[in-house]
This record gives sequence, structure tokens and C-alpha cells, in this order.
Amino acid sequence: MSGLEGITSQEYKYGFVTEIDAESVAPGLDEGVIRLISAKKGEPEWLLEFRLKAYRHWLTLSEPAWANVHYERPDFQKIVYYSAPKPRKPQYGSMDEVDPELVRTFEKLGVPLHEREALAGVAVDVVFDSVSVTTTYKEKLGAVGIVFCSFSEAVREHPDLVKKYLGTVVPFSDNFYAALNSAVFTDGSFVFIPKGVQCPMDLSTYFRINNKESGQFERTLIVAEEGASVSYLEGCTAPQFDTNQLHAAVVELVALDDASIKYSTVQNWYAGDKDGKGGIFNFVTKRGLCRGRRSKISWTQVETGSAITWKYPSCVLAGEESVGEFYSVALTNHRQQADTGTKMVHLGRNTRSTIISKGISAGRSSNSYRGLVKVHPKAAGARNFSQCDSMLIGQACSAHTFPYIEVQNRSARVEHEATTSKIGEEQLLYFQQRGIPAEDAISMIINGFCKEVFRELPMEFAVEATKLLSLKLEGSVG
Amino acid sequence: MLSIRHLTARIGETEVLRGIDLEIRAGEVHAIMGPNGSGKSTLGKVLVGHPAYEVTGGEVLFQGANLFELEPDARARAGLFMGFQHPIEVPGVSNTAFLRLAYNKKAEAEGRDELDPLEWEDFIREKIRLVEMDAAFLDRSLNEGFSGGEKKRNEILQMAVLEPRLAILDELDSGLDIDALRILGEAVNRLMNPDRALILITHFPRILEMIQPDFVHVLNGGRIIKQGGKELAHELEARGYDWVKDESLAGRA
Amino acid sequence: MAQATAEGGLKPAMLGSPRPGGWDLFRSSAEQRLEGVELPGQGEEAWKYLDLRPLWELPFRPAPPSRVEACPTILPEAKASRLVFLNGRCDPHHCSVAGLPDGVAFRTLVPGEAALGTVLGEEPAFFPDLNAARFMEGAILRVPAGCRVVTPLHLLFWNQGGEGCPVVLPRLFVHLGAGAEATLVEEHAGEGAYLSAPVVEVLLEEGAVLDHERIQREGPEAFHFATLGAQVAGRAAYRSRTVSFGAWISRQEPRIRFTGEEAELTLDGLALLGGRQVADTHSRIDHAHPRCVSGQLHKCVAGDRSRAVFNGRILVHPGAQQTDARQQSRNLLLSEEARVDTKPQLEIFADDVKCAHGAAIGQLDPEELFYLQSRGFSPELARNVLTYGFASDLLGRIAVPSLRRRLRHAVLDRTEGGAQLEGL
Repeated sequence: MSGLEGITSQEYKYGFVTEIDAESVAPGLDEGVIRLISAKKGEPEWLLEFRLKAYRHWLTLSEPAWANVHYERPDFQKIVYYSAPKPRKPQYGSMDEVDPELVRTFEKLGVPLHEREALAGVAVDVVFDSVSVTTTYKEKLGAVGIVFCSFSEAVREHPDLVKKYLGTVVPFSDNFYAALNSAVFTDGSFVFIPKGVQCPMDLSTYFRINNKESGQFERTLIVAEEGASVSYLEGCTAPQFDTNQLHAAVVELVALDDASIKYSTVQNWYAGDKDGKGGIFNFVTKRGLCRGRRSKISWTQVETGSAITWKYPSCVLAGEESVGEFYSVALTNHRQQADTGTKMVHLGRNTRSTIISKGISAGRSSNSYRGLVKVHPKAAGARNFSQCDSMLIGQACSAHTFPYIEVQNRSARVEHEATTSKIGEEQLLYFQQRGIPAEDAISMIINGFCKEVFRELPMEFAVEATKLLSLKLEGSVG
Repeated sequence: MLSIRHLTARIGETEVLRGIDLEIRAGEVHAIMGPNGSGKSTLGKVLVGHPAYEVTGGEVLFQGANLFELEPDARARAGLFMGFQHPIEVPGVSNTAFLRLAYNKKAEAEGRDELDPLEWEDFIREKIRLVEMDAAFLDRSLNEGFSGGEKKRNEILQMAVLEPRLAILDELDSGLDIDALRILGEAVNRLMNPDRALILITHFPRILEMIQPDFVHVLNGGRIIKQGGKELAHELEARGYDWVKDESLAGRA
Repeated sequence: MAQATAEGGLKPAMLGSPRPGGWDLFRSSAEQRLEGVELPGQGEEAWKYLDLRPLWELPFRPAPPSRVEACPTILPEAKASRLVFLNGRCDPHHCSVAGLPDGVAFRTLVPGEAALGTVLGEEPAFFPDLNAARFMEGAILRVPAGCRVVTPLHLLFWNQGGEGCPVVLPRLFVHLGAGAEATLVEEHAGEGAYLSAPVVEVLLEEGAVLDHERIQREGPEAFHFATLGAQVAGRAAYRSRTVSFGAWISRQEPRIRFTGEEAELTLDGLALLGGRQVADTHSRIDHAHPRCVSGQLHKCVAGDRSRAVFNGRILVHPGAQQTDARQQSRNLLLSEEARVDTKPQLEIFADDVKCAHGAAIGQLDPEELFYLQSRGFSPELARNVLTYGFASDLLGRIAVPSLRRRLRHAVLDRTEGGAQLEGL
């Protein structure tokens, strides 16, 4: 009677595979593979050393087991650690040399590679499996001193900057996946905003995993010097395979005095089918260091994809009066599992942080918020406010909240609140009784639930996120 | 406008409607009365398609079409409206956004132009005057934190916006003080015209002073056990429900 | 070798001592479980915030019998319904049980009596297993169906430290039949250095109501590791308040499970800490049936170099629809070196539920301080008044008036400038 059973689940739109000549190394990992990756990229000796140290440390670690997620551990010897579309020339000089098949792929994904067709006002770095394909608007940004390029190019063109900041926020010893990433990362984006510069457009990276056996291990580093500011967006998709692919990225942000970095993600990796077959393992380490006074780092994430998500974008608030923010919507459906949240580490005086987390669970999925708010003895006047809301749709899913609060300064003020709600048949009927179809009703309710997060997203992302959530939930109510 | 024939329905294993027959023509006001648990709210919920109830027999024609072939939202767009006894709260969705969407969906279905945000402002300001509602309620989340009376006011505002052919008002008077009842009663009267019809579901005859019914039906045990004109309501006010029940039992025996 | 150090002397000292009589099967299965269990370390998530290294080097031994001249605390309301245990042994000299309704048992456990362990279950856990293996004497409160005990019942466990580090293992079994009602005051107190690891099991049948006031004011050098298991049947109400003032290192581990529908739970706690005290509360509430209501308010006031820990876990099981669970952790830090770690935790497997938790850590509310100042209070007095108010708020709910007064005084004693606040 509710008429909802008829609504079918939307297929994953981005599940196609691009047939392209790729150059891949054989699966497996040892020092030889790491030397090979480093050699292919023509890296300096110090970076190879960094990789090898990370690898040797990784061998001593075991996978973290504390998260509320259950999956078969990946076999790290079966993963391809380097896969790149074969260039027609050794390096992409201009767009005309990019394989037309790749250009078509990204057009299908809604990410045109040609600047003339690109979204106005957004510069894009495009990463396909292990390498960056192209970066748009590079020259225009270069004119004001901004460096926006692939990580490999940054190593070649700006080695001093990379060397100065790489691993300063997320040391290779940080955790199992960060160590693995530090050993085998292949590409990613590099952003440097010099002193006093407000980046004139949003910067964006689009990540695409194409190869069935390959993992993606990208590395992103964003540095904002004194008084600089930037807004950075990240999007991701992958084809539909019935095996799991591993994505283990590391993102490091550094903000100096009065700098501000806003980092937004819409994560739509393939989530596996409705029985939990296939999908991406998304094990990501993201951390920002507010090094300078009055600096600000803001994370906004809309997590809708991946079979397993393990991700805690964090802020280390070292500079006095620095500000950390985390706005998150995590949606799980079918058999997806997410354990995501943030860490706000207050080191400096009068530092402030805000956490707004909205978890939506449907189907047979499991959705966990895990967050740490830590106030060190010297962080006098620190403030945190956290709000963690869960919405459950149906009786077979679950929602979990694990906030850790550690306070060692008496002048700190930390507040945490959490609630749960549901979309039930009563609520839907009310909308339907007023003539609003079930799809629109769900979308409105979800939007209302998430609006504190959506309003933090850049406009075009907010629209996309709204659509994405509604699509993901179709057929799950009723 | 609405023909109900031998309608039976159940919730879980319990029969809650046990053969209802009712004919409602344009321009008429019907009151459905009865003691608690008699099935009167159920009848309204079944008509608008509440998923908890299963229709087990009979048929309902609304403007000539089989009502049960329509989804709840399609029924609403076809002109069926229910003012709920306990309207639900929806945090985070603004009242005005909800109303505008509902209005535009109906306009779209009827091939009329949708209202843009500016036109909507004018339109809704006009409507809230009808129910004497404070405009501040428009920007609040839908029904969230509204008092019982404010929720009812909001229900009638929605009725005014959607202008249904047939409105079912479930216990409109519960939670209302005497002034609010007068305001909403007048609003409902002004929304009536010869093309529209109204069903009032109520436990107490008080509201029938405000909105005069043409017909009164008394429900008990999922059946209509007595029918009459508005004088029946007066009699119920004076004598309660027991005598009707007794009469009906005697009639069956 | 590292293992042996971490384990310390506690387990060998206790298991090496003779096994007291009765409950042989129960004791031996606990001993078996202990084979795989060591003194918990901070590597375990459940013990992350509690450092037990001070226990490693101590020369533990089973507590010897002890004597006191006068009963250390007396509640006027319970002068004829009192049981006193000294170092884990019932001392009939100080007990006074007379005039309880027929069928009510409030006395020491007869060996083999009561289905010990059934409420807590068989999951290995260091301190409860140690208790099961070697407790000396236990207490029982049994109230038959339909019986209302109006007189509060007072159970005092008094512990005397001494040579080595005496270990006391108090044990209590509470069983209320359908519709029975009682008020129980469970008090742990003592002098000197010792370790007490009490285990309390509470079984409430359909519609039973128990007010359970739990007072922990062990000696300032003592260790206290308490485990409470409760099963609350349909429409029963369990109202428990735990007030912790004492011990150097202490832990409260209540585990409450609803075993029927529409039952009700209050699980409140107050910890008032100073010096180098560490107090940890680790609770678990299992909403396993529909329409149960639980409320938990946990407050900590941490002064000096003390440390307060709260980890409250609420589990709403599949099918436990219309659960209403509220949890609040509120903490006040009074000094530069004090520290609070709190982890309220919700795990929800049913969709039609109302669950909310909150945590707040900080100083007194500046708005409230200002309000008092605007009424003529000095800033210092305003602070003291509000600190007292923060702590004593919870005491107002205690069901025994003399106990309420006594605890309020204890809070005043610990509040700066408390003497000025006498009339509050």
C-alpha cells in the first residue's frame, strides 16, 4: 500500500570499465617493487629512502582490528601496486596526447578534461589508477604563485617543498595503512598556496580506480602559507567488480598563521552489490595540522560509497586560537560498513573545534561514528562541540556512536550530544498524503537531517550530494 | 464523490472495519462519531492509504475511480486530504518548503503553473491569515516542537494550501482551546463550497456547533450502527453513546 | 617474564590460598576461567584509561579476620535491619535484623545457597572470577513475591588494611520476587591499604521495585573493583545510585540487562575525587526487550591531581523497539592537574527507538556564576555554591533521608568553603 516496494534500487552509474592499454607491474610487494615504482617516476634518492623506511616499518605492523567493521583481510601480495594508462608519448605535454578513450571516460563521469569544457571556476587534477592524467588551469594559478599539480610533478619541479612537508603531519609510522601508502604511493595532488594568496578558484582532484587488481594509494599534500586560503574538493568513483579493491590514501594539510584550508569530499567508490559482493575497501588517513596561530582547517565529507570505510579526517590544533571543523554525512545501505569520524587534538591555547556528524543506515548495513576529542594540559580555553546524529531506515541496520573525550585542562569546555531518529512509514505517509511522492519525501527528510553538513559544501557539490543520497536510498524504505 | 461499499479492513490479525457503506456527495458535510476504539480514525486512515491497514474486502470509488488503485500521494493529488489527529514532526524540514513542494506537486499534476519562491511568499502569507497563524511558524521545522493546537492549525493551513475536493479531519478539536477552535472552524467553513465535501471524525459533538454536519454516522465495533441528521449529534451530546450501542444490540438480537 | 610482572601477585596469592567451603562447581569453573585471564592492562579497550600498575608489586594476601569495637556507621532508619561484614566475614555482634516481614531473608548465604553467577554469566572477567573462586562469606537479600519491605536494609562491608595488602571479596545476592519492593543501602568503607573486589547480583522478577543506594567510601589507600550484575524483568523498576568518595584506585562495573518488556532503570553515579584518586565507571545497559526505559546520569567532580573515567555503553538489541534510553556524562574539573576521560557509547540495532546521550566537561557555567555574582556573591562563593550544587543535585534522589543528609555533609566537607554553605 505504501507503494514503495515498486521503487527499484538505482544501479551504480559509474560501474563501467575503460578498455585501455595499461602498463602494470606484476602483483605483489617487496623492496624491488618499491624501487621499480620510484625508478619509473624518476624520484630522487631521499624519496626512495622514505619509501623503503616506511616499507620496513610496515612489515612490523599488523592491521588494526579495533574498528567496528568485519571483512576478509586483503592479501597484500595479490595487489598490483602500479598501473598506469600507457602514454602515447612518454609524458603528457598537452591534452591532445591523452588517449581519447580516457577523455571519453572522464566525460562520462562528468569530469571534462579540456579546460574549455571544464566547470567554470574549478581547476581539476585527474588521477586514473596510479597516475595523474592532467591538471587544468595550471598556468592561470601559476600566475599568482599557486602550485597545483600532480604529486609526481611536484617531486620533480618543487622537491624542496615536498621534502619540507611530506610526512610532517602523517608520519609513515602513524598506522598500518599510512605506512603502506608511504611505501607504495604512486600519485596524487600537490597544492601550495603562498603567503597572502587567496586561491581564486576551487581546486579539485578526481580519483578513478579502473584496474581490477590494482590498489589506489594516492598521496595528497596541501600547504597554505601565512594568510593564504584554499578550498579543495575531492571526488571518486570506481568500476563495478565482484572482488574488492583497496584504496589506502594519505592526505596531509598544513596551515600556517592565519591560513585556512577547506577540504571537501564526495566519496562514491563502488560499494559492492546488495549482497555485499565486491566494492572498495576505503582505508584512508587524512589529517590537517593547524600549525599557525588563528589557522583553520575544515573537513567536509559525504561518504556514500565503498564496501568498507575506515576514515578519520583529523585536526591537530597546535597554533593558538586555531580552529578545526569536521562535517560529515555517512550513508550506508545494503551490506556496507562504515567506521568513520574524526580526531580533534587541542594542543594550543584557545583552540576551537566543531564536529557535526550525520550517519544514515539502511538495509543491512552498519554505520559507526568514532571520534576523539583530546585536550592537552596546555590547551587552556579549548572548546569543542560535537553533535552526532543517527538515522535508521528499517530494522536490519545498525548505528553506533563511539565518542572518546579526554580532557586534561580545567578551563576547557567540551560538549557532546547524540540522538537517533528514523524514517518510518508514518512519516512517509504524511508526505504522500500531501501529494509528495515517496522519492521526494525521502530526499526532503534526508536533506533536512543533513543540512548542517550540506551547507558547508561548495554549491555544485551540495547539489550532487543531495542527488547521490536520494539515489542510494531508493527502495530502502517501505 | 465518494462511495464506500462493504469496506472491511484489518490491522495485523484484528478486524477493525467490518463492512462500512457510505455515500458522500459534493457539497455535503458528514460527521463520523463514536466512542474510543470504534474504528472512526481507522476509516480515515484506510481511505488515505495508511500502510498499517490491510483492506480485506469491499471497494471505494473516489470521483468514479477505484481509490485503492492509487498510491497515497496520488490520492492526495486527486483531491483527498486528511488532517491527522497526531501530525508527525519532521526535524530539519522547514514548514514552508514542505508546503510549497506539496502545492507544486499538485499544480504539476493538474497542469497548472508552479509557484516560484516570490509568488509563493504572497500566496502563503494570504493563507496563513485564514488560520491566523504567526508567520514565524513557516520557517520552523515541520511541526517540530509545535504545541497540539499549533499542529492542528498547521494541518488546516495545509488544507487551505491544497484545497482538497474531500477533506477528512480527524479529531480537529482535540488539543484546541475555544478561540483556536472558532478560528479553525471558520477557516474550514470558508474552504467549503458546493464542489467540495468534508468528513469530520470526532468523539465530542462540540466541534459540530462550529461546522454544521448534514449527516451524522455513529461507528462502533467497525460498523455504522446509527445514522441521522445533525439532531443526532445533539442527542449524543445529551445521552452519550451507550444508548445507541444498546439499541444496536437490541436491533441485531 | 613480562607476563608474570603484569599479572602481579594478586592472582597467585588468592588462588594459592585454601578454597572456602561451598559452591565447589561454581568456584572451580571460575578458577578455570582465570587460567586464561591476567590482571587487565591498558592495552585492552575496556581498561584503556585505568592504569593498574600500582597493583603489580604489592604483597597481596587473603584478608585475616578483623574486629571493631563500635559499628562504624549506623543508619537510624535501618537500626534493626543491618548486616555488617568485617573483612569479608559476617560479624553477628554488629548485625541487627529483627521484625522484617515473613519470608524475607536478609542474612549470610548458606554454603551452596542461591544460584550464584547466573545473573553475571560465564564471560571471563578478572575481578568477578577472583571473587567467585575465593569469596569467604556472602550476603543474601530475598523478598518473596508481593512483599513490600518498608524499612530500608543496610549492608555494611567494613575493611581493615594491615600488613601486606589484605584482599577482601564481598559477595551479595539480591532476589526480589514478582511485585516485591525494597530499599537497600550497600556501603563499602574501611581504613588503611587493602583491596576489595565486591560482586553484587540483582535479580528482579516481574514488577519488582528495588531502590539500591551504593556508597563507596573505602580508605584513601585502598583499591576497590566492584562488579554489579542486574536482570530486570518486565515492568520491574531498578533504581540504583552509586556515590564514590573513597579509595585510591576504584572501578564500578555495572551491567544491567532487561529481561522483559516495559521495565525501567535508573543508573546514576557521582564521583567526588581529590588527591591522586582515580575512579572509573564502566557501565553496560542491554535493552534486549521492547518498551524499556533507562536513564543514566553520571557526574564527576575532579580536583587536585585526580582522574575520572566514564565509559557508558548502551546496546539496543534487534527487536527492542520503542526503547527510550538517555545517558548523560557531566564532569567538572577543579584543578589544573585533574583529568577526565569519558566515552558514552550507543549501539543501536532497532529503528523505532529514542536514544540520546550527551557528555559535557568543563568549568562552571559563566552565566550561572554571573547570575550569582549579580546577587551579591563573591566569585569564590559563587563557585563553591555551584560546585556543591553540581554534586549534591544527584543526592536529592536518594531514598533514605539520613543517608541523604550524611552524603550531603560529605560533599560539603569536600567543597572549598563548605562551612559557609551549611544551610543550602
